[in-house]
Amino acid sequence: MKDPAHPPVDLLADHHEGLVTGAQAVAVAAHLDLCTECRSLVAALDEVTDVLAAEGSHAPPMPASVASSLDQALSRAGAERASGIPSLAGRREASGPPPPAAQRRPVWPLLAAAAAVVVIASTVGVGVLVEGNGGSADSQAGGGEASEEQRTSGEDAGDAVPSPTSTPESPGVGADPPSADTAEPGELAELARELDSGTQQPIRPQDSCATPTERYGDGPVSLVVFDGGPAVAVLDGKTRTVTVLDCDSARTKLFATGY
Amino acid sequence: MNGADSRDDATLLRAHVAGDPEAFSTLVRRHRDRLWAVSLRTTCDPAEAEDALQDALISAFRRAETFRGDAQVTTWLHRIVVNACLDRLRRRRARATGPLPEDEERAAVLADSRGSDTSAEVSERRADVLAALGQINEEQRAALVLVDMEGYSVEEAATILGCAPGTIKSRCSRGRLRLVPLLAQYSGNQSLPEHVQPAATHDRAPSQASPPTQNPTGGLPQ
Repeated sequence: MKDPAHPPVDLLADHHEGLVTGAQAVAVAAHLDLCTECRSLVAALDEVTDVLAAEGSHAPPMPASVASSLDQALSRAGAERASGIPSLAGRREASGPPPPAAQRRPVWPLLAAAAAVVVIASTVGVGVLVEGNGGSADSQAGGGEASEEQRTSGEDAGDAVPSPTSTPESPGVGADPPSADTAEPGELAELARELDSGTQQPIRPQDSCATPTERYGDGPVSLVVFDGGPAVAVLDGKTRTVTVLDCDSARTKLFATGY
Repeated sequence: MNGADSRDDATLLRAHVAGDPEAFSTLVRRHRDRLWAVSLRTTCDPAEAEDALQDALISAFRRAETFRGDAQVTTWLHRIVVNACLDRLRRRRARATGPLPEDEERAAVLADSRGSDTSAEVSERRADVLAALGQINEEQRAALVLVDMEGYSVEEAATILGCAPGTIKSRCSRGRLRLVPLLAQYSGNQSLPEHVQPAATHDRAPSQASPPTQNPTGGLPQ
């Protein structure tokens, strides 16, 4: 059959999904009435759904090795929680509303705010410039315990921390990576992994910390436990550095500020 | 272990937040096969799937208090897992390693994810479906995994993936179109119109519901 007026296949597929409206929808429907070829494409689309659904109903069980390492990881997380180090997580509820956007992948809430970290840094006397995270100009404001106001501003800043999750976008393919203006989330995650491994060249803790042993949080700001104790790490995707704040002070000192 | 725990998901999660040391593990054991399937199908790579799933569940463990109870716990878990998968895929793409290799060895690894009680026919189909999924755009794939394979509604998938329902529909529509020739051996219709074929051979997927041109490729069967 020679018919120069076949609708493009994308249009047929979108029509079948109910995405085409108005006159275009009428035209496609009219064409489908007459064209067996295009009807067969539509039928094939349904068959794809059928094949996927049939396969979907047979979930492959988690392999034993995966299950075992997952169990171990959860046990470690449980032990960490029992030891109290990351137990601050629950305080978020008491000190502020949950992140507003359901789409946002939450960042470890208490240290999400770079500005807050800078305040922490000033209280422990380790002056570190936090590049690319903004809001450091007031780092001297809090000489001692963080006040309620500082905590609030810290949380505001936390909302500006780049989210590792992509924003909702057009249904296009191959969306470009985020602009390089700010640290790119994937880059941060890679840095974080390198920090965890403690071996990669680009990692330059600015203090002579020992090898990091554990890390909490997956945002640009993390709590890191070194051999010598907890510290705060700020990952900078632009310069590919990890700035480590407060290598030596005890945990209690870090968190005495009320974060 | 705690297989007999009769508490529902939300109760377990609340118990975890309240300090119950076993509750989260119980929750994970209850759903881990399904979460593994989603992770595997979204990444199409067992190693990435394992890492993404572990990262996601540890993250969920630590911020369980952010669960607000206005969604199913499973939806919340899926959201964290799928986003971890997509983050990993984007990160890998940003490192410019290109698309997944499509070699036989990888196909064998994927097929190996089958259960031991699975027939050869089923495991072959599983490998073929995963291989086909691996050839389409990851966002279309994630949408199809949730909607067509997991049976989530478009609205739920939109919540999980953090985009509009229309976007989910469009991704599903384009993804299915690309899968038509890739899964042709499993469809009853062996003689598809020729003007379908070109869609499978390259990554052509306009970003709008309405294609920008009237006749992008192969609109003219004989």
